[in-house]
Amino acid sequence: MEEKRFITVPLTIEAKINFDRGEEIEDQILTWQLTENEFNSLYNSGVFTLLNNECELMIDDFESESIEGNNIQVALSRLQNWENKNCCKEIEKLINMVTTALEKNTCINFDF
Amino acid sequence: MNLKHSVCIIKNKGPKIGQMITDYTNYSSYTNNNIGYIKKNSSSSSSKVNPFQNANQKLSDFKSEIFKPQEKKDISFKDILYMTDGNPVQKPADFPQIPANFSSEDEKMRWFISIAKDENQPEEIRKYAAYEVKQIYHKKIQETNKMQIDAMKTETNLNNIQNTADDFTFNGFSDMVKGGEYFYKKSDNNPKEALEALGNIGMGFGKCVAVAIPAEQLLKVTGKAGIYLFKIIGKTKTGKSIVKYIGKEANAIGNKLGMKATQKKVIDGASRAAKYGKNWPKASLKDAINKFAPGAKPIKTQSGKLIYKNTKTGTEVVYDTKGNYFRIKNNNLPGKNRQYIDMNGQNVTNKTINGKQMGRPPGEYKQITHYTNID
Repeated sequence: MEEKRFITVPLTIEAKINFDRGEEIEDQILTWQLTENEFNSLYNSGVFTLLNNECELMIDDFESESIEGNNIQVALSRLQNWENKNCCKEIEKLINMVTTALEKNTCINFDF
Repeated sequence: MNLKHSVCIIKNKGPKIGQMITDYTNYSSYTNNNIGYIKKNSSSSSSKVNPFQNANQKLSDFKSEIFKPQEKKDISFKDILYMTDGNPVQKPADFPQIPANFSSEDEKMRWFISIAKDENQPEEIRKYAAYEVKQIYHKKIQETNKMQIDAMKTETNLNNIQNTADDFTFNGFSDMVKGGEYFYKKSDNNPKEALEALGNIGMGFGKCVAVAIPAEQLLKVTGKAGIYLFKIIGKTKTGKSIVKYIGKEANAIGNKLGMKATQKKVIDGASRAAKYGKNWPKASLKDAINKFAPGAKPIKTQSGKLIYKNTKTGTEVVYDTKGNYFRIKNNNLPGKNRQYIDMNGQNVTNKTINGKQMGRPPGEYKQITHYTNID
């Protein structure tokens, strides 16, 4: 059985509150279930280290972490200006999800 | 002393972060445009002449001239700079005609200053003049900084700066400790190695570290030289220090010199356990493995965790070796952020309060699904 790893963005404030309680309404959550290869691409790119350092987070395998509030803008800015952002297509997808989190004023969750 | 670079760590008594270092027998420091410099005082050796002196003197003259108030009731030059936030200001249509025969930028700026100070002028005229003052002033500062950097870029000066920085690091800090315990580390290859050496020294929480980075390396990266402060923010179980760089200057240097590997060490199981571990329940890793994944052989992940997987049930025990804690994951559970169970095998997504069931907040959920290993 493959590991379940998700990156999610609630599309409304209500969805964020529900998600934090472990309740999900599918069409209110933007979901990316990562394959093993996708996770490895992100992990090896160093993007989690970048976000951890810039936003004082602890994103890691088999752990859960969220980017919220002002940190979303910080994360987006750093990702867009990151010299390594073109290293794999997964980075672009991640940037799109962070952009959505900023637009919807919610958060982006890393549940690995 | 002529080290390539050096690291001096104060164990019992160190400078506060951001503290200006000014009081040493043979050294003095000065700042220019928010950059701190250190120079050796009078010396018989001509090679010890402060390489910034000439350029800095010109800047001082420049400042004393333009800051000199013409009358007591005048607003100061500083006030003029604060009259505008630096954003472009549109030139008013009736702005006084600018004389075409300025002999220098200084003269041109003094003319704008006179307009900005003139209380008889309309507000928008004064504001535009202040904006022009600010533009010329900043341009002048940039040119002066460039002069300083150019003045530094000679072999003699590089060696001079290097010797001064190295001497300062060792002598200055050992003087400050005054018999107290300190740790002195040197490395002869590159600054990356010197800074990484910090990660191999077991140090107390919150202590300060002073690092003298080779002048030549600094010039390549930033065009500046100086002493930069780092702070020990934690310690791994194996005794390695977790180092945080203080200030944008240090961050920039760290990135340029390839310090990412060192920074990466900050975020691992040890730092997670140090931050949250005191609130985690305690349990036996062996008991968890016997219960949920009996006989499983551990698989090591790239992040350094050991996975004991039960291929029949999909449940796995995830052991973080650096933080000495574990979690139990059930990949069969629905939901995207609630995959972990407790030692009883229970899904702990919800809790019951006063007979009412409700979802656990993320922090609480994470807290009760991490176990500190007691084996």
